[in-house]
Amino acid sequence: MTTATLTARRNQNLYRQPATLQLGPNSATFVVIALISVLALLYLNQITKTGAFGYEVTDLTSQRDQIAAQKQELGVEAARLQSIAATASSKVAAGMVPTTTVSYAK
Amino acid sequence: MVTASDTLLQRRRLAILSGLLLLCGGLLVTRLVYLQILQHSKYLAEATLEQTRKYEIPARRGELYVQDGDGTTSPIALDQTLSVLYADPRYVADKAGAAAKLAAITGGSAASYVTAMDNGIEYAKLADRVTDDQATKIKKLKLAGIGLSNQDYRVYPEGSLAAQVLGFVNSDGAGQYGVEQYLNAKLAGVPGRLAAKTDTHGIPIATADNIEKPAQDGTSYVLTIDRNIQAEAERELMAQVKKVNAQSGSIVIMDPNTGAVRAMATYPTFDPNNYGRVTDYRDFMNQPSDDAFEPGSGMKVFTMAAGLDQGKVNPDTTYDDPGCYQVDDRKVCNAAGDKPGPNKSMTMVLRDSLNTGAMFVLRMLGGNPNDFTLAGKNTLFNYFTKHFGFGERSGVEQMGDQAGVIPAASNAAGNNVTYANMTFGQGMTVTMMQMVDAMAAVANGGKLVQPYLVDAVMNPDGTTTATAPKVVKTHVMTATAIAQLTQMLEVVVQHGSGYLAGVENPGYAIAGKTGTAQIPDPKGQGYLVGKNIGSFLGFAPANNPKFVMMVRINEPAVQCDDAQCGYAEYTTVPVFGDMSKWLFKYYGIPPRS
Repeated sequence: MTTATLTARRNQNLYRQPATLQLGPNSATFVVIALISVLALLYLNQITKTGAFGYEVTDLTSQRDQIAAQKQELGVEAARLQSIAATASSKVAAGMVPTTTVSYAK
Repeated sequence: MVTASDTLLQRRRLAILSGLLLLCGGLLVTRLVYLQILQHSKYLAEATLEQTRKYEIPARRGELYVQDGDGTTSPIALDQTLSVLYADPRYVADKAGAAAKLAAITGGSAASYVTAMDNGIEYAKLADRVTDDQATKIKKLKLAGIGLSNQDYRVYPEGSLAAQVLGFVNSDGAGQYGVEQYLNAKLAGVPGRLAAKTDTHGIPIATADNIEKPAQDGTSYVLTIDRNIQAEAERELMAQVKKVNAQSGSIVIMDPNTGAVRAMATYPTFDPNNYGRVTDYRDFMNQPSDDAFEPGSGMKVFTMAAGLDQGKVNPDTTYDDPGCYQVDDRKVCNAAGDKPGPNKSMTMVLRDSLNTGAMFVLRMLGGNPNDFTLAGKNTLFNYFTKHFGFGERSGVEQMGDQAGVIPAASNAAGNNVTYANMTFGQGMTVTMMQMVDAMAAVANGGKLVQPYLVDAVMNPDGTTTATAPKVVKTHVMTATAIAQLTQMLEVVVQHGSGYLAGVENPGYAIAGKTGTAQIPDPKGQGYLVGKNIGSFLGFAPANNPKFVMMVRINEPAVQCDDAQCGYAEYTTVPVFGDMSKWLFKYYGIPPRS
């Protein structure tokens, strides 16, 4: 056992003054006001964030709707381009010739 | 030095101040109690009204698809959200300048925009169907008094293809005519609701208090229509209507085994994208299902079917054709040009379309070859209505589907003259859809199937439910009677009025029957002179039918020396022949010989 350890054990029997913390009425009032202020600030912060997120959601919804509208438009355009009338008047169709006779394998 | 009186004065001042403060506090508390407790409901309602807005979330209308012949489908009716361009003329300072800038983007007329703004007070619609790109460019102009609002439009990418089958969607979003009206409730869906807190600009804010009921989008459908067959049928029909200067025409092609309608066309037609341009509302009607008409000799098929099925006649049964029968106080005759003669067989009756022969079958149904009987008329009525489904709506998914009229023998309207005429398709009304369906029962071996246009339902949850073909009646005719009738109808195409269809398709067995019907005079009794409705009803290949088809041409006006050049054998049979030729190739059906 080392000398330092022995010294520490011996000192355990020494008297120790207990620590006391006392708040006066002014200090208590100040602490309460400070706590309320902090809570109010936190509340305001959250409310502001919620509002900001609300606008973000609205903006994203608007973007989503816009993309959906563009998809719709592209779908309609694709359908138009693949329609019978568009296909028949295409350059590819113009290069084709109608069938005359068809032979079937027996 | 503070004296006692000063202290007293100070205390009084403090007491007065305290009293005043208490009074003010009391007043404030009283007011707060009044506002926040007693008037709570009132102010809460006012605040809610001011901060909350209710929105309708539109449901997306279901889409319609058609078959593409290779197992795939193709869209034929879609929804598209576009914009309406409008102006509040009070805030447009330079109308001509604004109109020019807008017209450059939309491709519209600047002059018409100026006129619209001059005529409008607070709202002037300048253009509709403004695309997203155009809307973005317009917004960048930042023109005062010019606005855009979203609107859903129904778009038909195939243009006028199958227009009458589809119908259209009007400006209120409601389906009109055809499938669009018949299935409107399912296609439209259910709009949702949003009650949301908004900011000062009216923009919804995401809060826990918002109430949202999502919209239920409409159901989409895949139709049985094959767009390739439909397009070819429309081409053939239009060409023939123009060629014979007819008022109109229509065509139906159906799978006889299932009842799936593959093509259903009417000419003149219209573009459902621009339905407002139609001047004659009859162009909206889907003639094959919506127009009940006197079909003429095509009905001889079903008169003969009754006689064969009852065993009262067979293909070789003969009668002496006098050219006319005296029926009560009327003389009912063959069509002009048919010569009377002895020993005409039932096969010849269909081949040469003899009215007297059809009346002879009715007499035989009653057991008396020399006169009509109530029993015979009842039997014919029973076959027409119970066996072949005439007199009842076909059930095809069309809003205007008609039942037609088959006078009962027991009614005063069902007298001998009426029944004599009914044997060859006059004095009664049917639709083309009913005729095709009845002929399908002959073609498929005796099953009366339900004709249908909806092949599959595409549920909003992504699942698809296929339509199961429905058999309305089995054993419509005996197998023997069907075989006899089919053979007789093949003779019509080989050697009779359907000859041109056979010439066009050598090696193929086609069964069919023409009909050239008189048109009742809408002003009174009798029929219009020199006008007719021609039709050809048939199926092919006769031994293993793949399609049943009916072609109808209304009021042809052909100029020629031969009076018969306006008859069905020249107006409708060529269309049937050409269309059959195309279908044989399309389906890959080889000739029998």
